[in-house]
Amino acid sequence: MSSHPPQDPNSRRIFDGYAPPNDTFDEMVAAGAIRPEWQAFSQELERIGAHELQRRWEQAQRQIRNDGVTFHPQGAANESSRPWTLDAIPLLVTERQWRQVTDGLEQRALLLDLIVRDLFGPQQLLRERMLPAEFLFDNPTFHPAYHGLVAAHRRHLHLYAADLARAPDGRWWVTGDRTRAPFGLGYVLENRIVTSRMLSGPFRQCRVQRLARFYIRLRETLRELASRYRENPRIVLWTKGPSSTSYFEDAYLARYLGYTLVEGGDLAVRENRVMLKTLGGLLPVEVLLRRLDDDDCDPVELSPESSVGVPGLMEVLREGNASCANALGTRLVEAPMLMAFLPRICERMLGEPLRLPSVATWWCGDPKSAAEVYDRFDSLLIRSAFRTADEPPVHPGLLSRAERDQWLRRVKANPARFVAQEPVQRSTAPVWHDSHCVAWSLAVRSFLVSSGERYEALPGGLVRVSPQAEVLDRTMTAGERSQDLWVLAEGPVDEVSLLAPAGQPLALRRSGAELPSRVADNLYWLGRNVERAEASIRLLRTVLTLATGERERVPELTILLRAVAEFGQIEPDFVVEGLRQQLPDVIDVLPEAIFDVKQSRSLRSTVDEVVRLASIVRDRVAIDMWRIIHRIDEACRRPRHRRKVDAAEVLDILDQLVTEFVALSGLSSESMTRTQGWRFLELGRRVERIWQEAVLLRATLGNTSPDETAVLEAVLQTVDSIMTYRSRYLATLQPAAVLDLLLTDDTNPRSLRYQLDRIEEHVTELPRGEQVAQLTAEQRLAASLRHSVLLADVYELAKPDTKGERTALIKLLSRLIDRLPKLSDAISNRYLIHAGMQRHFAGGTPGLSRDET
Amino acid sequence: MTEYRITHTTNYQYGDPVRVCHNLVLLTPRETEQIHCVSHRLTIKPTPQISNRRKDFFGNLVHSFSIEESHKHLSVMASSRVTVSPRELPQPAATMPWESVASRLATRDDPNWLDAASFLFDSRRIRRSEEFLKFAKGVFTPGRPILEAADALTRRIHGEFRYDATATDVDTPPESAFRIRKGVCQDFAQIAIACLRSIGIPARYVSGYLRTVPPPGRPRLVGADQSHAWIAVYAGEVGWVEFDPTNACLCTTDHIPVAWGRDYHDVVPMRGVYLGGGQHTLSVSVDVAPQDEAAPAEPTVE
Repeated sequence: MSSHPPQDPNSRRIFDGYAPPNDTFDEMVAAGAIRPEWQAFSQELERIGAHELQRRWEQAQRQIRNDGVTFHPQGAANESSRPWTLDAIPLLVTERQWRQVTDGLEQRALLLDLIVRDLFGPQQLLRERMLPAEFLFDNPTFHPAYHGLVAAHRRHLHLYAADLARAPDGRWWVTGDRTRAPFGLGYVLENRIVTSRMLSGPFRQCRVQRLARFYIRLRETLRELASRYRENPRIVLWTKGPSSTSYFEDAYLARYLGYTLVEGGDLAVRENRVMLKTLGGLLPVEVLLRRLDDDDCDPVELSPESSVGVPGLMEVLREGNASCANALGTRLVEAPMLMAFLPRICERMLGEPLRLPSVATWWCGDPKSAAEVYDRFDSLLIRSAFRTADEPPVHPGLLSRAERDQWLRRVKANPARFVAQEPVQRSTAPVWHDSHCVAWSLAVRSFLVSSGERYEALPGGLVRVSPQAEVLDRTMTAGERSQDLWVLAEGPVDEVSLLAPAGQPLALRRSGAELPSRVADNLYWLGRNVERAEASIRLLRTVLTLATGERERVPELTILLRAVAEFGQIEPDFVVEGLRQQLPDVIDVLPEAIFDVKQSRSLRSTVDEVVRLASIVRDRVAIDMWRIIHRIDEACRRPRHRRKVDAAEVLDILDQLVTEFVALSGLSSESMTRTQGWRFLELGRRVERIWQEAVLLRATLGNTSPDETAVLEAVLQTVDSIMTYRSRYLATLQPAAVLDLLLTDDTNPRSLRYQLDRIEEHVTELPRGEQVAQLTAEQRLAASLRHSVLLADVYELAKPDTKGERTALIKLLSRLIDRLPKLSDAISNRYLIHAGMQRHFAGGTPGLSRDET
Repeated sequence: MTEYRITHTTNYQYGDPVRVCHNLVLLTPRETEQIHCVSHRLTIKPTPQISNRRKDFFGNLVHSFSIEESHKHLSVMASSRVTVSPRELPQPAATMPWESVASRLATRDDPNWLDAASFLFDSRRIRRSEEFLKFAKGVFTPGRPILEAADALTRRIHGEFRYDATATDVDTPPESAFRIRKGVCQDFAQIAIACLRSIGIPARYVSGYLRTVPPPGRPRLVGADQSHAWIAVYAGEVGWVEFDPTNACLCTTDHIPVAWGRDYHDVVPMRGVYLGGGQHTLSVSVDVAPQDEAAPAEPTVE
């Protein structure tokens, strides 16, 4: 209906119609003209064109998704664990501009470190009244145990991040300090990798400074923290665990930096050292890069409620037998209250003015400041004076009268606990939205790492953008998009990289890295669940193919359904007498049952378990394996918008899934290095495969049936051995030959014998510790199972008794089914022992003997 | 001067072996001008692989130890000999008005303001509130000398609260104990501290011992035979003065402090984490025997 002729999307220019507001600083445009630093970039981008940019951007998002960023540990597949979408356009800053910011930040990092060291040491700042006593003693993030923990002459703050905003006059302001375990370094990397690929032309043209040097510096700094083995100390990245919001990033960083990713349970204190529990025993850890809260680190001295800490850690740190980065307690200087005192402290401690201003801050504990705050209450932001959690600020001016008055009362009741801050007028930058550029507000997080006497800044950062500026004040994860930050070099850029070329399958880990027992446990169960899922899919496929086929009478279906019920896929009630009448019902119910998450053994539940386990060990599995698991997760879903799911649809899904699982097996046998981790994955698969096949064979061939040929064919089909059989025996189906192929044939990778051979190999290769002379329990069990299959006579097994029962076969399979859990337990007990529950002493409590009068 | 022999024994008996434990104990009497620790011995069985001692932030002596071999029984015995001399205190009525103590700290004119400041604000277990402030103001009347008012607060708590070992437990917050007007020494101490801090007077939580057998003619004190808890009030020029709200008295030579901090959390006599153990039984005995007595009292075992 438009009077304009339809426009060719390729001819439309990207920055056409870009109109930033007048009252803010725009990063790209000044007085209607593109700033010089953006000109080369914008020309390059226009060369790419809007249509192509859109296509590349969509592809980039697919790549991010496939890389498993959207993997959610709880299996809630629709919930993204990536807080923001990556934008198509980066933020550009010149080296000179950025140098001004980072000069200021280097000074600030130095200052914050000195403040922490003073407050945990001589406390001159309090004595000289540079800071009120409340800053330490009314501060919920202060714990007396932090005092004197690390010698005052040593650095406490190793990794620091500052949140920045740019005011209308073009000056950068610090809106927040992060001194605990700053979030974002992993996303910065990912943003860079994806953006530089998406915009490879502009990226090269614009001479963007590389990030790798910063990460190399971080590794150096951590290495220098070690008190022993300084050449090659063991450094771990200590995560809070898979349920924490930063887990994806923790795993990403661990992989990039080449550190073992550990949880508290993987560590133990022995002989006043921190030890990593590995399959091969306890190994000393020299440096911990912690990603969890200060108070959670040691349940003995700090928060007793913590289940992610390492009991006794503080004592080790105090002795100097391990180092933690950042030092425990550094969170203290994240307090917004500090900003009100920072300029004076800077003059006092460094003898120079603060180079980069903080956002204007008033501490309400000071009566004069408080009076000013109450005066201008509606135009300020109110925040907690100390930072204990991610609490968004309150904007009294935007509240209802009643709410506003309530906040005023709250502040007046405990003024020392609050600060007021001037709202920030943020700058804007172009964002790719609906196939054109719009001006959104932005926030930048910049990172610094200590380097000898100074700090070194990352030539880049994490940019968050949002159409509403206030949103960016809330929390670090607030905002709709993130952007890569390009610092444009004036000279040539140095090409340093820590990262393997993109797309190369990242195998289990370079050799030499230790495998924590917990990870081995997860890999073992991942293997078991992958195999369980695959076996279910194959069985279901056989059943549904038979049920929807053309044949009038399908007698073998009854027998196969017995197996389906044994695996817990359907209610066993369906398989009792009178099944023939119920048969249509079963075929009716089965397609739905596959997706039933309430059934713990349904296919969907098993896939959920695969996804969960894979996401926990995400730093250990190859990227490609990851992608396949992601596709399995996506594929294994009940078709939406259907009242009833029919068998044909499900068959389609199952066919697709089989292919994905085959790819997964191929990857595991061809692309994974033969580390201990791989062995546990394999052990899990083999153990599960025996169990699945033994149960299947017992349920289907334990009794003879008049339609034996059809049953045999269905069984061969299910265990993927029909081709092999036909190539040997053509169309003649006989029980003994089938049993030979599936039980005793050591060349068929689907036979029980083959699995047992592999299991025996794997358990022999596992680390054995002290007792080398005799066989371990799992070796003995594996050997005994293998022998019982080895010695079996298939003709004997195939022979039914007078009631049509194959007693010898049932006996053999039952023995396998019974003994298999014992083998599984033996492996678990030796290698996969968990720390067990921590308990606290509750002794010597005053008034504890409460029978006193 | 009174001399005491103090034995504090803690025994853990576990159903299953404990593979490893990490502990911190505060069991050494704290030396002050009045209290001298003549000797102290800490005996731990089984013998720890690692042990260490240091002063904590508040100056308490902390022993840390780890046992890294399997054990089904743990015993920690602290035996000390201490002498306690009475303290010369000014007449309570002659001390500073409480408001002056508070304001000299607020303006940091008091020479000890930094030391006192750690005990002035909210801590993990004790939070200031309007409710405590009102209760305190009932005795902290305008211009009242600080020690007189503190003594009155102690007596008020003793008078209005009932000692009831079943009403609260170790984690009961002071607000709850305050509302039901019942509790044990820990509750009374924390309530008194909350009241004092709410009006700007620093207060410490003190854990320690009471003499087990009273001198002839005097009643046996409540809280003997176990760890006891009381408070110290910052009284300006006079310094820290200890009161026992459970027994409504000023602490003199019957109280032997072990550790002080902002609240119970800072001075837990024995804390730690162990792995394994199953069901456990715990027995604690404390005996505080004046040395001049002919026969030391039998230790009471709970």
